[in-house]
Amino acid sequence: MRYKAILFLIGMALIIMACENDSPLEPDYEQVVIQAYLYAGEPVDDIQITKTIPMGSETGSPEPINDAAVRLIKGGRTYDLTPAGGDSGYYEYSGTDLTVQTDDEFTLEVDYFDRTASGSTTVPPPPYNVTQSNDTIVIPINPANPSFVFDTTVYQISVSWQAEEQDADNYFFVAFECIDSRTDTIPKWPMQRGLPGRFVDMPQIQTYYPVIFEDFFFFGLHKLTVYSINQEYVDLYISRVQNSRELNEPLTNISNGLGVFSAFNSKSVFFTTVREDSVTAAP
Amino acid sequence: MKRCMPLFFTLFLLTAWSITGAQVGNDIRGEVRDIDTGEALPYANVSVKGTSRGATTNSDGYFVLVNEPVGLCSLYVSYIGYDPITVPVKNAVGMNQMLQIRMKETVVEVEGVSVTANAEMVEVSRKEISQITISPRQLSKLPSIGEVDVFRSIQLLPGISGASDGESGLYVRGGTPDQNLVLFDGMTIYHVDHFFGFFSAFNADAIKDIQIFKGGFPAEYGGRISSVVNLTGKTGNKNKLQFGVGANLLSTHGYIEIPLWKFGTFLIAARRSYTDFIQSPLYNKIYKMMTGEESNTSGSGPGGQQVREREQSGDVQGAEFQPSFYFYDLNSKLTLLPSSKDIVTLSFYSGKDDLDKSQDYSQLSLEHASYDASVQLETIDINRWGNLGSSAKWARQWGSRLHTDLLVAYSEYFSTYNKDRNLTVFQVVTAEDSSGSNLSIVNSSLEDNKVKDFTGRLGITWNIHRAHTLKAGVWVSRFDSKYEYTLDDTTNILDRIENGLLASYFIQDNWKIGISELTVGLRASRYDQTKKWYFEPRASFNVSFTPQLILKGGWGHYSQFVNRIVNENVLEGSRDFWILADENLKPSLSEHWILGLDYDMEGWLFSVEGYYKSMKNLVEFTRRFTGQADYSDYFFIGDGLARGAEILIQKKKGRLSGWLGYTLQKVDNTYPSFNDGESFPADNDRRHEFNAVAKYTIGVWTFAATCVYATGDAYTAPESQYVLEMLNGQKISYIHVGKKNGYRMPDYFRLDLSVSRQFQIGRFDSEFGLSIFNTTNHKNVWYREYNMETVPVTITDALMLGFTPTVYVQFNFK
Repeated sequence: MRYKAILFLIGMALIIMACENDSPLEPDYEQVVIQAYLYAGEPVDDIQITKTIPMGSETGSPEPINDAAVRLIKGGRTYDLTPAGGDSGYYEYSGTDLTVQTDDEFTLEVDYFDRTASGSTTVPPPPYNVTQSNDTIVIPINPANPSFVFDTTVYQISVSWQAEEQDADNYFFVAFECIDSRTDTIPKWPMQRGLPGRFVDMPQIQTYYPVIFEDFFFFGLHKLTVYSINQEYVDLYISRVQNSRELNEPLTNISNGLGVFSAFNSKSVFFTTVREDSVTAAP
Repeated sequence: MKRCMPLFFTLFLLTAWSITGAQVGNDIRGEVRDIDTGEALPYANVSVKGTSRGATTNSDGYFVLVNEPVGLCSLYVSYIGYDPITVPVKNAVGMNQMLQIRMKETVVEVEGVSVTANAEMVEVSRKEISQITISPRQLSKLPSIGEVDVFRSIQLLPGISGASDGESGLYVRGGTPDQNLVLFDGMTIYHVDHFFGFFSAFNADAIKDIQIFKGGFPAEYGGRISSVVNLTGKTGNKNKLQFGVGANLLSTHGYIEIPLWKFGTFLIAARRSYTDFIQSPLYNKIYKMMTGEESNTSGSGPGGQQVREREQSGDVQGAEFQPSFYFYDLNSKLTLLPSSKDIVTLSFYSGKDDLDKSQDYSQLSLEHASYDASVQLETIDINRWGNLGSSAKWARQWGSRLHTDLLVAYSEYFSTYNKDRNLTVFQVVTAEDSSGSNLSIVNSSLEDNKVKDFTGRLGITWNIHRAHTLKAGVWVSRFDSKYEYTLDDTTNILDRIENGLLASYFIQDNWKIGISELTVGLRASRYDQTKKWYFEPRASFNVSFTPQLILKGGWGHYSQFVNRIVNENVLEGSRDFWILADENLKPSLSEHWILGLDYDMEGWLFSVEGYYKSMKNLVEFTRRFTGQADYSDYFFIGDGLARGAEILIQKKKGRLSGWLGYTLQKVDNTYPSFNDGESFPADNDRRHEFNAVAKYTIGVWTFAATCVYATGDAYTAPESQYVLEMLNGQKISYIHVGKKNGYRMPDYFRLDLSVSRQFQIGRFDSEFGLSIFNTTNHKNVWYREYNMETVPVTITDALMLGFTPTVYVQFNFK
């Protein structure tokens, strides 16, 4: 390095640098975007391949790729995926010889744009002993007046579980939805969740989750699922805020492409939200 | 250490040889002071006419020429901003008197006013590589943006630049501002600016002299890897009371210099913005630039995307909310002269910025058929940052050849950001229940960063022989660093509390060999956080081929143990923080190679320097997650490489003075985590930068102009978007970015003009000035914003300041 430095200081490099022409970069618009999720115990059907959206595009919707060669590799064996049909960009494995189980390691390969994009993941262990504080929550509703609840913590359900290794940084994600076919909306004073400081729908390392009053929108049966998730899925959240002053490529576990390939393991519990007046009206 | 033993041994032999070979002569010693104020002139040049021998005064104005031949000789004494003088000396064996050399500032009496004119603004050292001396008083004539800003003027020198109009920090030869050792009367200043970085934190009224080493600095300095900015505070007028006041569109300032009979002097200088009381258009404009609002003008970005421009105009905020902001700094210096051999100085510095964006939205009424409710949102949003420091120095001259400096200094950087949001909902009345109740939701965040630096330093200068000046010393610093980020009083996002002890020892010898000088030194530092020694050999030389033509060179290793982490959220004040190096965040290291050639002819200087600087263990911080992520994972470590060349053509004196500067440089960083591990242009990589500075004085009028033309800054641009669906059905849009810093902003151009006139009003020398920033209203792009909420993504150019006139007034009591 010193020899180089001395040569540099002799001065010739000055002239070379002065004449240097920074060639303009060719933007790399042609990128494969992989959104591939595997769920323990479920068939492989949630793998979508799309193109990136050019910055000037007016549509805002990605163009699906329906003719890519998509392979899933497990234990040295390759499973070819087929398009799920339609112009969706989804791919699936229609056979019955491919299972997704705890600790299985998978590699996904996608051939497109004359290159192979790939990523790997491992199925995490499920959350254990998922329990809920109660299975019914009574919402005080006066039909004439929308509910206005001050102490929202009274009207909540706490769900807790255990991680396989207590000391490890196991990440979890909680999702819930109303699964009743016929639902009534909970009328509420317009103070919704999202007030300052409350993080919603984020990966977490805590092994409990309180579903509070503001989370409920419907009366009826709800399904709450606790997912064990991998670091690559957490990385999506880490990358979701991109600062204009400090743009960085979102974190990804995909080589030669963008997106995510991740696996989940989950347990679900169920609870019901009911109207107070319907409870008191019962004999 | 073993590798350095031959160096010491050689040095010892040379020293011994020099002593034994010494011829008979007599030392000439003296002090150089201002003839009017009696103030010591630090770092003045003293040379023996007709020879290449000479010396430089120390920070107290003392010099010694060792073992000069007896007989008549003439000393030529020069100091920036002063008329050079020739002093005849009759040197005789046994003559031991201290020469009292008095110099007069370069002023012209016009219409009863002392006009500072025809003097150099900067002086390139003839001996030291990459060293420049600056006269704050002379630079004050240059165009400014409200405040006389020495750092902004320094940015006009080749090899030094600023990142934007919004930053007064110094980017020296590919380094970042935190890599500069900024010393003020010996204390290390960590936070060197005001107003989110817009102005430097140093009051020109309080500074006598600025020494800048752009690289290759000697072993007596350490702890930073790029440069040294050594500010010497004014001691004040020794002969009479002197004071002055001034004002501009942002602040007022004043100083007073009090002679303490024959025992010393006391100076106090203060500056405070009045922006919390009066928001001038200038303040609004600058504040707006930092916080931003948008207007619509079209442009073009990479990939042909439409780009809008964000301009700065109008009021700070709506009528409902007015953020309160002010800054101040205070300097004081007590200089005591207990004996002819001793000087004791006590210096104090305090600078602070305060931004209060607290709001109180009360009684937002929500009426309903069955109840009335009201909402009160109280937001406390206070950001305070600054630097506090003090130093005590005892300098003693032991005989004619030995000088010691003992310094104890304390410096504290602080930055606190406190944000509390308290939402209270009052239910006033319902039909069934009239008692009422309430709900309170409190969210808070606190960022608290402090760096305390306790330093003790002993420096010894021993003029062993006419050919050798030996410097040695010990420099011990203890750092206490704390960075705490807490949410809701309980959740610690990041909590770094560290202490570090740095003990450095240095020795260097300046050896004059015929027409050349060689300075060889070693700095050895022991850092307890890493439990390692860091050896930093340094060497520099100069060869005077003719009195005009000098070849200079330098080389050295440098280490840095405390780093400033830049937090990009400038919209909320200063969120930068300093942390100590440790086993994980290793000390930053650099190596400098410099070669230069100066040609000095009457009134003109032509200077060219080339440099090659490699840097290791640079730190970047990315805050991309506000949830449960471990913040300490977001420090990235990488390397940097800067190389370039600088040309300076200076017209030093006369009615028209100034310089032309050109810098050609390439600064690349390499971080394994960024850009697939490939090198990329650093944020501060400006390939070409051209500077022109001119000052023209005619009578009581001074006209000045500065011009900067530079390659646009490197930035990272988005190339495409993609959308991923999360487990709960939420769709998140991401931006796929191109090569890191792969694009360039449009070239930067700025022309500033100023005119000032001096008056005599009673016993006051007065000055009134008008300054115009960005006279051509060139649209310089600061950065690009991407709004990912829109389809297509909207790109907005945040512009720097446009055409901005300012005025100032200054009164000095004669």
